[in-house]
Amino acid sequence: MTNYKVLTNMLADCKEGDLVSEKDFAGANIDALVEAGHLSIIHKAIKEETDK
Amino acid sequence: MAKIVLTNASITINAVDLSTYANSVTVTYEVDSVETTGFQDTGHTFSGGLQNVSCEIALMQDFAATKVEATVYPLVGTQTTVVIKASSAATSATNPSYTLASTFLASHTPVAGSVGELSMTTLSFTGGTLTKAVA
Repeated sequence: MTNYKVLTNMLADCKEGDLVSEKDFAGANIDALVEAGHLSIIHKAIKEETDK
Repeated sequence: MAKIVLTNASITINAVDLSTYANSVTVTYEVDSVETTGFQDTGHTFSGGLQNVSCEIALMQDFAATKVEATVYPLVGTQTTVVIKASSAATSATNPSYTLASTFLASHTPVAGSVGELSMTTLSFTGGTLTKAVA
């Protein structure tokens, strides 16, 4: 499952900096949110590196 | 029950809160009437068919990153979810939430208006399923 970082304070039930996944946006068009700049994709390798 | 003046409606499109950019919203909940009139009936009779819902939202245009145009443009030609409430307060029996799931956005007018007018875009979402929540 792809994870995302929230980049704005315009998303329902989220705030900037939150880490979310696809299931947090059921019914939403995730690609559109990424394209609009509301979310950025966190690649798994980067996340694991960050978690260390 | 108090009468309501809309001043604080909540408009969420594809999980993005665009309430402060909207100045008009109309949610239409309709169910197709399917004719079931048969011989020997004395008048037309109907049964409920599929939902035929729509939602029209007028938004004041903003081309800044992550704002109106950037949010709406990628949604054209796709299905998404729109959530409307009469007030931004918590969902309740007196402030129900209307969710249009899998609703389709066919068009968007990035630039529209006459000289001296506020730049607006009016979105018409059609289809999908409407559900009402009170909690």
